Amino acid sequence: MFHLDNLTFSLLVYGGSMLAGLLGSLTGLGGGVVVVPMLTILFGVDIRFAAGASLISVIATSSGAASAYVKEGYSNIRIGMFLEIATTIGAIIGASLAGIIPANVIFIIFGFVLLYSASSAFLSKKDDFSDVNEDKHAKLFKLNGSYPAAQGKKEYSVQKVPFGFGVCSFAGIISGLLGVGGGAIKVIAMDRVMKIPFKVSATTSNFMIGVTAAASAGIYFKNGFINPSLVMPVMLGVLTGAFVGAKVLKQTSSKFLKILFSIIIIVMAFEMFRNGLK
Amino acid sequence: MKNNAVVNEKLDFKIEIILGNLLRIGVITAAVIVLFGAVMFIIRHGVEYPDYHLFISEPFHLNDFSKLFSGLAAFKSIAFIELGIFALVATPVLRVMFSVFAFLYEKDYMYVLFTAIVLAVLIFSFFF
Repeated sequence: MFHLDNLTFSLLVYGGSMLAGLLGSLTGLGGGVVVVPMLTILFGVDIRFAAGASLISVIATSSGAASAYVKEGYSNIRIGMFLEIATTIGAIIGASLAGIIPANVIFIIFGFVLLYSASSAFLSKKDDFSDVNEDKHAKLFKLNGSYPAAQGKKEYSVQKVPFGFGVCSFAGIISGLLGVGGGAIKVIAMDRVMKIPFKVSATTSNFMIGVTAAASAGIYFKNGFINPSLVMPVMLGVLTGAFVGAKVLKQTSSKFLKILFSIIIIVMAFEMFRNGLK
Repeated sequence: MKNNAVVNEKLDFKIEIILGNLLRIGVITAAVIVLFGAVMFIIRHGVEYPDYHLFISEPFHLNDFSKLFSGLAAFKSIAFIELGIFALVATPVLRVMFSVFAFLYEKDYMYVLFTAIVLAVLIFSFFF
């Protein structure tokens, strides 16, 4: 591995993280998922330091974007808070496992999560409200709500609450284990399982990501995963990219970018497998 | 008599706006502190060579803030970056704390409980 001084290293990592944050926000896939492979594959950073830096940047982008999402009126604080019980407990389990599981196993799990993220970009974003019934848990926990649509307020009723809660704890484990936001899995839980409208699940999940990642952060600190001088360019870079992305986003997300980003993610997935099998 | 089972969506929306702004202020504050530390770090250590390839665990315990404070007093760049990282991690925790009071204000005691559970999990993760 070539050896860089702090200035060059920080600038390169800053640039790479900015690109990750930009592509992540433009495609809606989140930048966190490519930050870890970028740091480990391109810069030879230990995967534990990489996960620590990525986790912190995930908190930054999720919290920074929240106010913009909130104003659109889609997010549902009750669904978010209810599911955060599952994601935060999962995150503690995942972060604790990250301190025990050998690095090469983490590489392989990461590879699978990357492949999954790439495929999730092409899943249909159409809401499917067939066979929607009144769900007793959704009613009990006051999860049903409405969101602004072209024809006025649109109501939705949440389905299969216990199953969705379970998938969210799994999302929390993955987030804590790999230092990623786990947004793609959270959206699946909410969108596919619980039949929450796509816009509502996407914005609510963004709210949840910061809290979920914060639950892992305490354990990452204790295990020494958070290296301040490495976190610095990653966090600032991803934030810059996400900020620029949010400004550009207003003009529809492009299909070309999605395909490009997915190809990058798939290549990274195979690199992660290769690292894990070394 | 107000029916507690009915969700007041207007009030919810207002609370979410406040929460969203709270998060944004937290992130901006954190980023500014980290940036300050970053500039100092690059000026002082720019030509040194880092080694992130080797994992050397330097555990940081949250009950050991004295080291951070002495670092800040000595104007160490790393201490400022650390402070910014703490400010950032504290931001979502503050949001959850604020939500406890927001649900209390709405008299939604079920969600006061749920939010308190999330807060307890977060506090547990930092101090256990």
